[in-house]
Amino acid sequence: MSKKNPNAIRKTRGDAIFGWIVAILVGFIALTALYPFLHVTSVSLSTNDEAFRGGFHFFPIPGKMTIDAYKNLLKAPSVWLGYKNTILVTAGGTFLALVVYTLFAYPLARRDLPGRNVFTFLLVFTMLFNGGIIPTYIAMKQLNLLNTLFVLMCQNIVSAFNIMVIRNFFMSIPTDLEEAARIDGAGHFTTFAQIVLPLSKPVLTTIGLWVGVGHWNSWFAATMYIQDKNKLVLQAVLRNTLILMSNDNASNFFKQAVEGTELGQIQVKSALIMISLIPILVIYPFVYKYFEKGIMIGAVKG
Amino acid sequence: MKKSALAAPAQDRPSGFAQKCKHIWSYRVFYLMLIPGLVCLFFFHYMPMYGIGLAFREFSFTGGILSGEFVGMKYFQQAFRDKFFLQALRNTVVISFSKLIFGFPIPVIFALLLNEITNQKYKKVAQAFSFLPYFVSWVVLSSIFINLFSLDGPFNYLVQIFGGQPTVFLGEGNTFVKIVVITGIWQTLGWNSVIYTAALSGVDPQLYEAAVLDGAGKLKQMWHISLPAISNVIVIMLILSVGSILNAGFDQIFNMMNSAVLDKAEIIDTYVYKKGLQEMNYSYGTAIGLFKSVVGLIFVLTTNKIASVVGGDESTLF
Repeated sequence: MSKKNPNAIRKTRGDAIFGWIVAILVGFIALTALYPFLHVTSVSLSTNDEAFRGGFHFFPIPGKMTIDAYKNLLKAPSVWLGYKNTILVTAGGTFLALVVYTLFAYPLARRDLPGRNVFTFLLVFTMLFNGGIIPTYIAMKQLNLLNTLFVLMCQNIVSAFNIMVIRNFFMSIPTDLEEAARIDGAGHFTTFAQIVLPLSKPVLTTIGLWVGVGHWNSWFAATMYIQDKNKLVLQAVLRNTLILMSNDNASNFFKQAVEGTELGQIQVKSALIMISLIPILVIYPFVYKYFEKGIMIGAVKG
Repeated sequence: MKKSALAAPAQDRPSGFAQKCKHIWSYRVFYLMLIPGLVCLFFFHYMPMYGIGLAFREFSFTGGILSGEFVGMKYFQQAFRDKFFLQALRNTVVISFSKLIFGFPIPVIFALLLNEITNQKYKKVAQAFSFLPYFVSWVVLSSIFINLFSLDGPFNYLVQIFGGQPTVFLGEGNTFVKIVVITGIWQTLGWNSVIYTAALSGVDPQLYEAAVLDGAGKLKQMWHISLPAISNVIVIMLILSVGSILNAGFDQIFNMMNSAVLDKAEIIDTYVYKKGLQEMNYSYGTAIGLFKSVVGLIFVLTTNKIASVVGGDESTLF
């Protein structure tokens, strides 16, 4: 017995070293995830001699900081326009999606609904198979939806996955509540709107955030459907200026953006990236719990 | 009105046509609620699906979508003679397979490491940071990476410190593919680990206590308790990710690629976009897209079947 004691002590020391190694590894991974964002942040705030210094940038250096890049970008009408359109699409799209999702999920949550399987199949089949981008594009063209913000709002307006998640939540609500409401004389729709929806706030917040972030980040639909310069969303503005740099709009954009400053393009580019990122970064700490929950409710099968 | 509303949960089976109609009529509110979703399903999913017929027809710029001449398998035959399509097919599989092989174990390891962290605050913050890239669009991420991997970016700075020559990383095919794989893994690492973290949080702490009493160190506990506890989830996730082998990451590659690396970077999705939308070869684009959807569907259904056999019904998507 007495021999075991030193053994135990050595083990805890080993465990302590192990603990440190694990903490360092995890910290390193977390830092790797964060680094690109630190880099753009500090470059966007740097004066020329700092921004054009090679190497890694973790934090803006006091004394070598300037916010000129942001000042000039905020004068660019395309940034404001992009922002406005993105906000419209995100707000409108999320609202429409939640309306469609909940209205569709509620009947599907009723096991006794005649034809329930047919509707479920029509929905779930879209998870397995879709028309592909060309037929979808042509369909939108035939519906005269090209160059409208509406078509962007309609991306993901019926998502089988999201609807099934909401349906599962509805099914988990005790039916006594609904029955009690109906005995009090409430119709099905009233029960839905006044009993079921308020009880579903957590799942609706999660799904709503999910859809909202999707709209905020969405760029492909805009690339495909929107030519009209007045209807470009922020991600499309970013893509046009940062990735398709070859076109004239981009070079004009940068010429204007660095005008009257000492800045190079790199700070302006970084600031432009930051302008699209800031809303995500600001809400992220508050909503990340919901995102984490999102994947878990998704994992529960109905 | 109220009566019929109350009558809805009808346990008694309706017999006879009139009664059946009455039974269905009592659900009318529910059917009304389905209408917006059905309309959207029709316009945004089933109408495009109808347009798939275009893969077997010439496109007519004047008539309806399927009014062109029927040409059968012409465009599929064309695809398999098209060396650029075959190249895109190969690239898709190469990129996606590399992401799977190298990217699959990392979230598992990350979750195992997180599980060992006793300081809950540290764990939460690290986890939150690791998720972040998942919520940023590839337009933004690509712009950042194009920057980081550029001639005067930090990675070339590192290369120069170690005495190397600066290179245009994203301008060379093989390096491009490596960067796509690495940044792809980087973006989803934290997110993909969530499911394992959740599974690990369900492990009975008594198992670890018992192991400690038996003299097992931390590594042994990880190997003999944590890993077996999530092995089921690992197998299921692996099988399911094989199902999406034809998705090499359109958002990422489309935004990162440039003309210098087309021979390695062009994947099926980008090729469909180029042929179909940019060159307006609608029928050909539809045909390639359909090929991808059908093969993808077969993969998904097969892997789901396997997953349900391996892990029981709970583990599949459908």
